[in-house]
Amino acid sequence: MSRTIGLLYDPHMGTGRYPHEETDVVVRAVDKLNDVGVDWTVVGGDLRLLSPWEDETDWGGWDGDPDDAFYRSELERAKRLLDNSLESEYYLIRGNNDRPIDVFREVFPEDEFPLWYWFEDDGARYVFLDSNPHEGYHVLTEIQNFVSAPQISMLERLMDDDPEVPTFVFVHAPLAKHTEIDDDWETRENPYFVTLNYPVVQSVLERGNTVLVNSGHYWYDHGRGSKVVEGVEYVLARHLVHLDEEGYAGDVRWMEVDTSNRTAEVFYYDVGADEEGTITAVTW
Amino acid sequence: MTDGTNEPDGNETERVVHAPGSDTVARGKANRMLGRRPPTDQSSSGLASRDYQPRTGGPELVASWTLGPPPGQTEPGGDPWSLESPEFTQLKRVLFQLPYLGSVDYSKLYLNVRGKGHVELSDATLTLRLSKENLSGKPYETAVTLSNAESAPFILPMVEAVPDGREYGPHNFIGKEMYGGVALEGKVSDGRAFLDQGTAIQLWSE
Repeated sequence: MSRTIGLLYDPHMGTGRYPHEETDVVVRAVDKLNDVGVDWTVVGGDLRLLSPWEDETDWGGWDGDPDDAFYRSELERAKRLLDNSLESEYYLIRGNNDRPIDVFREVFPEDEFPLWYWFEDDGARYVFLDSNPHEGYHVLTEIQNFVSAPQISMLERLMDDDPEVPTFVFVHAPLAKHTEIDDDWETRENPYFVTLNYPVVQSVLERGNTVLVNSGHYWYDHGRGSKVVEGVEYVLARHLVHLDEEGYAGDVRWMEVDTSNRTAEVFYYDVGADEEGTITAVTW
Repeated sequence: MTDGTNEPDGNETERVVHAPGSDTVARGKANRMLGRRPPTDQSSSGLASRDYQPRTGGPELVASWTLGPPPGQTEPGGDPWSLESPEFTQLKRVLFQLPYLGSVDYSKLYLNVRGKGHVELSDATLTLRLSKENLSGKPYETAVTLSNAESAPFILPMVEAVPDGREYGPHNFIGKEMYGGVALEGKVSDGRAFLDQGTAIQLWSE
């Protein structure tokens, strides 16, 4: 048996305020996952709009939005798309844009959408982490991503309780420095792009049979790739939506996990180029 | 890659979601078992890290910023800070950066000052004031007054270090990486006062 898992990261759904909003990109990405026939989908965070203008990403800096109306409308629009257009069941993790938490919680209530969790499916373990456990309003480019202590504790327990079961991790912000796709990773706005305490998380993941980590967050057309650190492969695809360039359309991914043959493969579909291919194939 | 069709029904299995927060949640076919049992009946390892639970371990020291050597000290040594001004003089200022500030995992952070100090004459009074700057929310300020002539430990009450809020925007003049700060000031009436170098502003978790 195998599982095909959709990986819909960074949809950045807007509500029509900006001329470059590419809602169609997200729709085409969802259509692709429907065509592939995924068994379930990971919605990898950043449902809300990514504004190209810094002063509008300063949380609370939007004049004329005293009641979080824009935030709410964007999250609601994203949920409508997921509920109505995506044919598979979906599991959600939060991105750094998906705040403030009270508005997020109005649309995605906690009892239905926990912030971090795990389950087993068809002989594999799937772990969902929240790399942006902030509650308040923040200037987007000034936050840092990190995996909180309770989540690390959960990982430790999982890895130690059953270190053999193949484990797949989903998280919004990268848990590795992808210098293979951007050699400037170490310096360019450094803290924003990588999870602050990634060495700790990596060391815990290495204690078990962690196969793949899929993340998003890293923005724009930076390429796609994967990086192997101590036997764990960290996968990153092109950012799906970006508003700085008119007509830009990035990648949507899906992953096929075959526990019988001990294989996993991550595919991409380049929405803009209408091309698909393989990012990585691994065995364990 | 798949052939473009969904898996047959016989391939469906129930996925039980494990997450913190509540007991069971039904969403679709998933029967979500949430929450953790107490660690004591789960952990055979005895590793403290596996038993970590927030909000149950009491306050833990997150960071501590000591006064260090007083101004003018050029040689190694433990000379105390000497205060004479009857007006508040800044002794220590700390600007926070993440992860020290922000409502991390919804647990609050607290500030206080603890150290050792005394006054030169018994009728002198040392007042220490801890105040926060550039933080929205509750503008805390707390102070302690000392009049002991022998050096003795003291501690200021803990005050909440609230996360930055909607009013953050106008306060970014201190730098883009900064989220606010806290300052310790002191003043003396009727004499001189001394503070140990180890006197520190401390940040505590819940």
